[in-house]
Amino acid sequence: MMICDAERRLFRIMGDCLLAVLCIGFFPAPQAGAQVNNSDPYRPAVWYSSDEIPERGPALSPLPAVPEIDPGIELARISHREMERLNPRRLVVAMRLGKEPDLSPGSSTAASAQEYAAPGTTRNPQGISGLGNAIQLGAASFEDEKIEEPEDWNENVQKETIADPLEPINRVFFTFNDRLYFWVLKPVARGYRYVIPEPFRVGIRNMFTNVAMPIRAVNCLLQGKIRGFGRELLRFVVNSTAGFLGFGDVATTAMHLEPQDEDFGQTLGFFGAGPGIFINWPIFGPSSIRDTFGMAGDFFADPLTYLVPKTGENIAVRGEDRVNKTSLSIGDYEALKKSALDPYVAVRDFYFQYRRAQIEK
Amino acid sequence: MHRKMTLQLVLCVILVAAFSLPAFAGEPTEVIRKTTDKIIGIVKDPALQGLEKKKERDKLIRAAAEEIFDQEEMSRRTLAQHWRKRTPEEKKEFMELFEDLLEKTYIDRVEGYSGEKVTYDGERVQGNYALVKVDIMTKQGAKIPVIYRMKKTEKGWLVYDLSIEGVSLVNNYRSQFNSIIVSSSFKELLKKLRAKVGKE
Repeated sequence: MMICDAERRLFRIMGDCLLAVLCIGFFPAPQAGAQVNNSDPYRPAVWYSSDEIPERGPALSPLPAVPEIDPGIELARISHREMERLNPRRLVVAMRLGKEPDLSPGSSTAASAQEYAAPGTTRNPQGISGLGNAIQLGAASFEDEKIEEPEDWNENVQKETIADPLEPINRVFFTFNDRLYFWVLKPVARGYRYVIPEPFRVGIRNMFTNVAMPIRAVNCLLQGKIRGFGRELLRFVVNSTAGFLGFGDVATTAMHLEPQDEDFGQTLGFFGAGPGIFINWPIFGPSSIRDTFGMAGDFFADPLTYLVPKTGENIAVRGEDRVNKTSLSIGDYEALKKSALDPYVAVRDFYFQYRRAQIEK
Repeated sequence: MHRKMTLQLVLCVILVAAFSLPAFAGEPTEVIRKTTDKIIGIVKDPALQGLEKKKERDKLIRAAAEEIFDQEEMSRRTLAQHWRKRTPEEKKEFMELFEDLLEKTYIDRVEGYSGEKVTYDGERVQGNYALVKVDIMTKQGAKIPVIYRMKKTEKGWLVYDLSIEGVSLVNNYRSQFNSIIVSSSFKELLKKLRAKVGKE
């Protein structure tokens, strides 16, 4: 069946509208509320630490005379303010900032604070309409990206990287994993690639992704990403039925409902846990203290753990997943190694940066 | 029935038109777009196919990429605190070797191009700095987000870093180079760079 771009787009918009309406109906999210009135006098102009957040919302600038109060708008405003206070992300950011957030011009905090104070201008330079804005909820990673790096790139490399006191052991396991890849995994994956055509391998990967839905859904919920949670549930329903048990990822291709990339390690990071130190596990590869706990959490939230309870069979199924995924990405690791002067440090830094970006999303 | 269909179509058109209004593309995006199109053109050019034409192709790609990368800014940021301690000659040699390494890596990636779609997803400008967001759609349907970091110079907007899936190239090389310099020396770094780009 051919689906043209316009239809795809329409599907996506319809899906998004439905979800947005559902989510906003129950949980008026900050931006949606803000669209009611851009010159809202209650809009926070300053960031507060958690214990400073006042009962009635942030510092009230002198109130401009509000001629008539529409009860609907007022209600939206109040609920928006409440959500603002309860928004876990905001609390975490506020906690991290401590009592005196640095608001000198040029600091990234100031930039985001300004952005926060005037969402209609910086956050949304294209001036997308209110509905468009609502649809974009939860997808603000590019907007959060710092434009200029802080100056510490010039002074302190350590801040921008992960502690690695176990480097000697990690390097041993790095070599072990490297051999494991080139001597076992890659030859097996190549044979597998030769036997099974690509569409089937993509389908199998989709099935594994589909069955792991609870990991992503639970972690969306834990991070207060209600919309992501809804998307995951909808994805699961659509892909398990129309996608033949998840073999086809109809939700992405026809409705643009992409999987929400969330796991327990990211949830821990979301609530302020740093990575701790770098750990390069044999077989599992690069990780950190935080993400090792996260992996344990993911293991218990993964239906495969319960669907295939026998240890031997479970390892076989996970092995198949690994081989199948490798068969679709042969060459990536080689390219990374080829471009690196020290592959171990390259992988370590790659892991650190990649996880940080995932958590910030 | 027919009328309903028409109505739906009209609604569809209005909706699509409302949501696909071309995002305002500023100067930095145009710089990236121009070069990307140029490079894709070179890779796809039927007159430049085949192994025997690889050298010619690489030269053209190299020339196109050189136009938009700010080599000095990139080197400065990559060496970070070690940059200031280097003599002008050392800086120059480092810059050349690093450029070779980047181009080699870049050309390898571009050579693997097989019809991936590139979409421009927005830009943000703040004074002399800008971010340009690009999405690359792979054939398997995965979306790879790429962000170009640019700076306005007298030569126009130039790229000083790019991050793929949140991993910054400059940061990645910085930690590698720092690790080598700290555990051995700057000379050792140059030696390794020379070996890597095949200039021994």
